[in-house]
Amino acid sequence: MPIERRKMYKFPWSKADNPGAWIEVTDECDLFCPGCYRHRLQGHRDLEEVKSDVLLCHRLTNCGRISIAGGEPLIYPHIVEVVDFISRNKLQPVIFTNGHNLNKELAAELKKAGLHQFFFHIDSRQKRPSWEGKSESDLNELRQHYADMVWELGKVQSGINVTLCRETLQEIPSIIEWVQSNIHKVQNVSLIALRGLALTAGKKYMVNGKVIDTSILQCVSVDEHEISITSEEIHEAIEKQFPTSNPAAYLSGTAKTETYKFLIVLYLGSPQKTYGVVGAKSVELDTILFHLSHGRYSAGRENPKVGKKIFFLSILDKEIRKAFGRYLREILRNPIRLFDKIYVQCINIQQPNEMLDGEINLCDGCLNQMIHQGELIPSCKLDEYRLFGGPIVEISD
Amino acid sequence: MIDRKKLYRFPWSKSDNAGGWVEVTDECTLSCPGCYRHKIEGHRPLDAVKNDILECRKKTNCDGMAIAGGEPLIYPQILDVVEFMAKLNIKPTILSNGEKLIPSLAKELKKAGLAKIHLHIDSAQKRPGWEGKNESELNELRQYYADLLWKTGGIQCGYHVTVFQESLPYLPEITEWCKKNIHKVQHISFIAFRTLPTADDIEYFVEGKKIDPQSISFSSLDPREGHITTEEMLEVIKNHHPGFEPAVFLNGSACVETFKYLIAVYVGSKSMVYGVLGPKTIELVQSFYHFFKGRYLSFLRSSVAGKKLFLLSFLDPQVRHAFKNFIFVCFRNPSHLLKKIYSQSIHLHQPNEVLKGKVNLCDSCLNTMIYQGRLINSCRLDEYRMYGGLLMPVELKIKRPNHTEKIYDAH
Repeated sequence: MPIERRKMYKFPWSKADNPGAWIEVTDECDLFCPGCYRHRLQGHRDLEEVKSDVLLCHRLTNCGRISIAGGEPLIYPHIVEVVDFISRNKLQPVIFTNGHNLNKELAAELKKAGLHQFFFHIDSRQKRPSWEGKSESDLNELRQHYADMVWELGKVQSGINVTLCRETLQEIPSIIEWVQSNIHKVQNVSLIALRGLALTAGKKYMVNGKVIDTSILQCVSVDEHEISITSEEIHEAIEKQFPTSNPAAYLSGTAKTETYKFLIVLYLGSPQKTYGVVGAKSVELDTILFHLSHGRYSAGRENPKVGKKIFFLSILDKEIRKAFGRYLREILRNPIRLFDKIYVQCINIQQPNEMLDGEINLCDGCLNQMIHQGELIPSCKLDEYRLFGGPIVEISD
Repeated sequence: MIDRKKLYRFPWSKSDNAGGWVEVTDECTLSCPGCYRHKIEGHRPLDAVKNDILECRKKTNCDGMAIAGGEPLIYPQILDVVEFMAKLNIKPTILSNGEKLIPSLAKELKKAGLAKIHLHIDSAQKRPGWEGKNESELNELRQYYADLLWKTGGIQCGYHVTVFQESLPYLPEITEWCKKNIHKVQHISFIAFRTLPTADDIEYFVEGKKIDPQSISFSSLDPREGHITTEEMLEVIKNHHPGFEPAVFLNGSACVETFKYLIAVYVGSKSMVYGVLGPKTIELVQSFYHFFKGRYLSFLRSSVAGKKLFLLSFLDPQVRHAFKNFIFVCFRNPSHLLKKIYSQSIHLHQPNEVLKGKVNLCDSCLNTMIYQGRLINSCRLDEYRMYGGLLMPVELKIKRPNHTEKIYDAH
């Protein structure tokens, strides 16, 4: 079914008032993932510089959450100090990692330093040692390992990032199925369409008036079809198997406003059963009330265990009303379900930075902005600045 | 220095915005400095305009739409455009220089459903009969149109003033005039003059091709102009009107720290201004209007805010302050209790500019329009019409990195 924009809430985020921001502590990494746009240019960054970026980022974006990324942040020697610094500044630190270097001791240290959430990037294209050749479905075992580790740790949330290519699109249902059964352990899943610079005949790129040498870029493709998966396609793949997965909120593209750069589906349920989704009206109300009371936007719920009180929102939210109906029917069939805890889980479908019809189509309201040389830029464009001094534009041949 | 934390950033974005923009003609009866519209195609076919209105509504989810140009009042089917928009439940606002506005046309526009007119009047326009007049003297002309619309009734009145170094000191006098006319004038925009910088160390490209800046008629070599900021305008006004406190802003797209819009909203009666609205009130209005109507508010149909506004005192310190002033005045002169309470918004605007070698637009601009089926910033329309794409400035003095040799790990 085509997505109806009018039935969704457009997040009111902007560059200057945004729930999230991004810092990078290193550009070194122990894996090489297709679609990664980060080049190894400078290695580990100076701790003081990172701290100063955190403060400036907070001042410019009014964010409540800072994503610590890279490269692989867990190989950065001062990672615990960075988490501690962010947390002491009353911001939620979130680490984006491939998980390779995570063990229980480090996880406990990070928790103590105030870590809010891990995002584990795990997908079948990573050529991860001892997981080569595994399917997305097979990789649920590895996802389970990290979800369990974080769950045992307590009070730290867990998220999964999956980069999708044409071949893995069909495996989305198996990921969603696993995710739903782990609704109590996994709070976020980002399904990210593979993107890269198209190196096809007739395409040339320029930065600051000069044609660039694209051979030094690692995130490129000669197959335009492979790098054109849309959010709608990903959503369709989910909806086929899980028909109640209506998205509640979105972010549009900057150049092509009709595109969906973020599509958010919020599942509502218990580990035993998913009852439905949260609708646009609830997301809007939550966003409004949080901003009115905190003076900033929320990047996610502090406590994903929302409880049965969420069903009160049935009064104004059709989707929750439907979920409540299913919940009541389930209780009639099996009264023990009454004692189940109710959680909310966010599925974030992403169509990242891309060149569409010669225009740069970014996320309007991007929550991954970062500081580069004192200026706020989208993190996905960092290496265009680092390598060429500015954003890449497509030129007519 | 403005404390951004004390302001509300409008929740607008490109696809969910309070405003939209349509142009009906690029012909005009005046030639104002700072105008970025070139006469290329004349009056547009009515059906093309209507299509653009529908597409713009679809893409932006707008509540109000500006009908601009050129001069919209010389467009033969202007009444049809207004009526078409009003029937779609979009609030139409005409942006005009007012030259063609006469009482009979105002009545017809009102009948067609016009919600507001913004009249562009300033001292740099070389307006026939008003040449050499300063901004203060032009308040007489502003008063003429404000009275005309007040008598017509049902159409709100707003003004645009392009601000130059010479006219900057006059902002307090214009503000004073506005405050006195709070019942007749609902809006004024002070728009800092901007132009494309031309210098030896800056080059412009469109889709990889270098453009000769001299071919851009709105370029200027006067280094004094084109740099007035919203903060400067605020300072000038505040020096004379200390109670002028902005409540809300839009930031720049490339330079986030810039204020592209700074908006203060006066609250008062015919006799006096009691104070301003604070950010919490604006936030509450914008958020809950969207919650119930599904779109963001461009402006209220009625300029009479009413005394119920003071109920917001419990969460907005600025409204509380205005309410205290109102009570105090009522004690001294109880006739104030019977007066209607109006709101008036004053916009300080720093338009599209080249800053630090980057094009700095309004992040979440409310003047986006349809051009060849796509949504673009109206201030950049002529870049598409004249060059087929967006101008990209390149500052030659900025040192560019060359990291190709530094890639020490090719993976």
